[in-house]
Amino acid sequence: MKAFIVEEKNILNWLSKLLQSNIKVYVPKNVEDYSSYEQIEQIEDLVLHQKRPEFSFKNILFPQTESVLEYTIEKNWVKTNPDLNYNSTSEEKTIIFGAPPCDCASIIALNHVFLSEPIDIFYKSKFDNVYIIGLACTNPEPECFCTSVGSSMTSTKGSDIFLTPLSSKSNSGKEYLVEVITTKGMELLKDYELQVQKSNKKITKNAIEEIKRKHDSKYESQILPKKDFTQNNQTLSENFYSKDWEEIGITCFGCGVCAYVCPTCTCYDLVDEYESGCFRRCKNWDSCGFANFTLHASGHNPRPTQIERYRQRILHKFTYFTEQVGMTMCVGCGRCTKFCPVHKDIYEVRSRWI
Amino acid sequence: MDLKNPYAPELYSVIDLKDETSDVRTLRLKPLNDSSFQWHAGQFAQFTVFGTGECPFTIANSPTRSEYLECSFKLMGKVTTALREVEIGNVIGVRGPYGNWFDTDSWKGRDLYFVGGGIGMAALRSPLQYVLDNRNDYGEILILNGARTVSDLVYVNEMKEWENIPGVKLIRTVDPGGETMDWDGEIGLVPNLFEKLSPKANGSIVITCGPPIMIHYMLITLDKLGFKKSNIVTTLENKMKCGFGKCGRCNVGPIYVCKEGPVFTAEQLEKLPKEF
Repeated sequence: MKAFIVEEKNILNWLSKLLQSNIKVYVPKNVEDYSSYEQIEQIEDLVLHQKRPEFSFKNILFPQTESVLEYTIEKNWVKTNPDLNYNSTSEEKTIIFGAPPCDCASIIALNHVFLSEPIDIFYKSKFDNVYIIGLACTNPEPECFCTSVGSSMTSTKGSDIFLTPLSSKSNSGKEYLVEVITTKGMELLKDYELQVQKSNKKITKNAIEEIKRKHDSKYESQILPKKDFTQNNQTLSENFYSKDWEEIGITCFGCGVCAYVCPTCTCYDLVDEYESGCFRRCKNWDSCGFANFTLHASGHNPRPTQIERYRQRILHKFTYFTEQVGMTMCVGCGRCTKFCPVHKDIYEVRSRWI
Repeated sequence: MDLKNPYAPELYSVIDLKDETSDVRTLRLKPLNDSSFQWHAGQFAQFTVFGTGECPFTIANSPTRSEYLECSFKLMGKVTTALREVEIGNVIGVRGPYGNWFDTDSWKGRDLYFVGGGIGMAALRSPLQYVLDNRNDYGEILILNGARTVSDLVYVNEMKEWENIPGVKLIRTVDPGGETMDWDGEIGLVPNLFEKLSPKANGSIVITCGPPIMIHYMLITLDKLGFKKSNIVTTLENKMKCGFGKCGRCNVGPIYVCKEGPVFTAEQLEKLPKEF
């Protein structure tokens, strides 16, 4: 849409202006013994170019637990809380700043699930007010494989604004290529003016590509070798009854950590519960790895063991979703591999059927 | 923008209830506000017992009888146990309708075989009422209803009424050992009995619903009898929460039972991985 070169200090000034204007800003941050997207109050709390946090920002749009209905029961009548309706103005403007491209790309999968009919108003009211400012990845981890799912360290997918650091030439300070991707990104620049480099020199498409190519090639070797997981989904579904799944799934604990750390896992449970005088219907994160995820009331379970459950996870991400949406329901962040207690390697499993 | 909360049910009052068997009950409901919805035969809804939770049931009555809404449920788990406690005049929640429906238009002029086992009959009741309410549009109708025992047969009184409609034949059967001294129906398993009837496969439609084991053998029998897979219709059920293809648990292969289903032809089922 629009691109220019901006000095780092100007970006920080801009962000600090945003911070002062009642906008919530979340950034990747280390907290005690873990890292996640945390709200910051002042620009000094920002640390750029961190490793991708252990938790994605999924919970900002899709909280781990969220009340979607509140009611009280009276005699032969039920009163529901009318406040739980769609209201885009009720949510505060929120910026997610400095997210790596893998996390930004997850937005496309989340949107596909929650913004398709019937629209999940709880997701939408948050999404409408969330601005995502992606930052090119400079700290890949050994489990990363974003290039195998059609992404890269400089992919702008899912971002409203995207920043790529330039390899600094002078001592004048760090510079960034700033790409404005969406109208939402434009809004953010218009309302809170980003002081553009004095020269404001036009940057050509070729120059942009060159910057990104350079950046990508610098870090590509640090992640798992590029394969194409976006194609040949058919091969995967044709191997539905392969004996390999037994060997793959047999060690799975069914702990569900893969789904909880996954930026794109969206399966959820609905539970009615009671708390301090009010009933609530809660939308809670769930996982296809859990035994009771598919357990019928009759006792029949269509996916009786972890073998079928793990296969479902892989096939949903790389076949079913891909066939419908044209992208994998996996952004290649490698979190599930990293946190799996038995080190089940999603990259290795997917690689078996290419 | 006016968007509805998709998780919020409308309030319905229980206006009648009827025990079909010792553990199957049919509720008749009326919306408290002008919130009634239109549905097609085969669709389902999510029923809330406030304070306990939700359960998906097929809408058991035909859209041609839309002045009320009915569901039949079997006592199984937490929500159905609570639903048994609900009395006439109480309020429950309903959201829907969800899912696809029976293609009753394409059945016009054809002979129809309704084959139901146990509580599976609930899913057949709506299309059955529909074709009976539009009797002239359809050919001969055969209803084959099986259950484990005589006391597990549902809609017993209605069956008697249906039987009296011209061009409708009713056969009821119970599993061997499930009969009583005065049982005047058949004894035997549904697929075996169906085969004995030597039904004509050509052009007729089989609508079947029942326990997985019955469906399994029905499909084998129907294949043997020469029924085209596209003329065999059944309904699937999987565990469901949202009812509209988001929460993920009814996912089978590329489809969501709640969205692309619950009605499938045998032809469609054949292409799905066996995870239902």
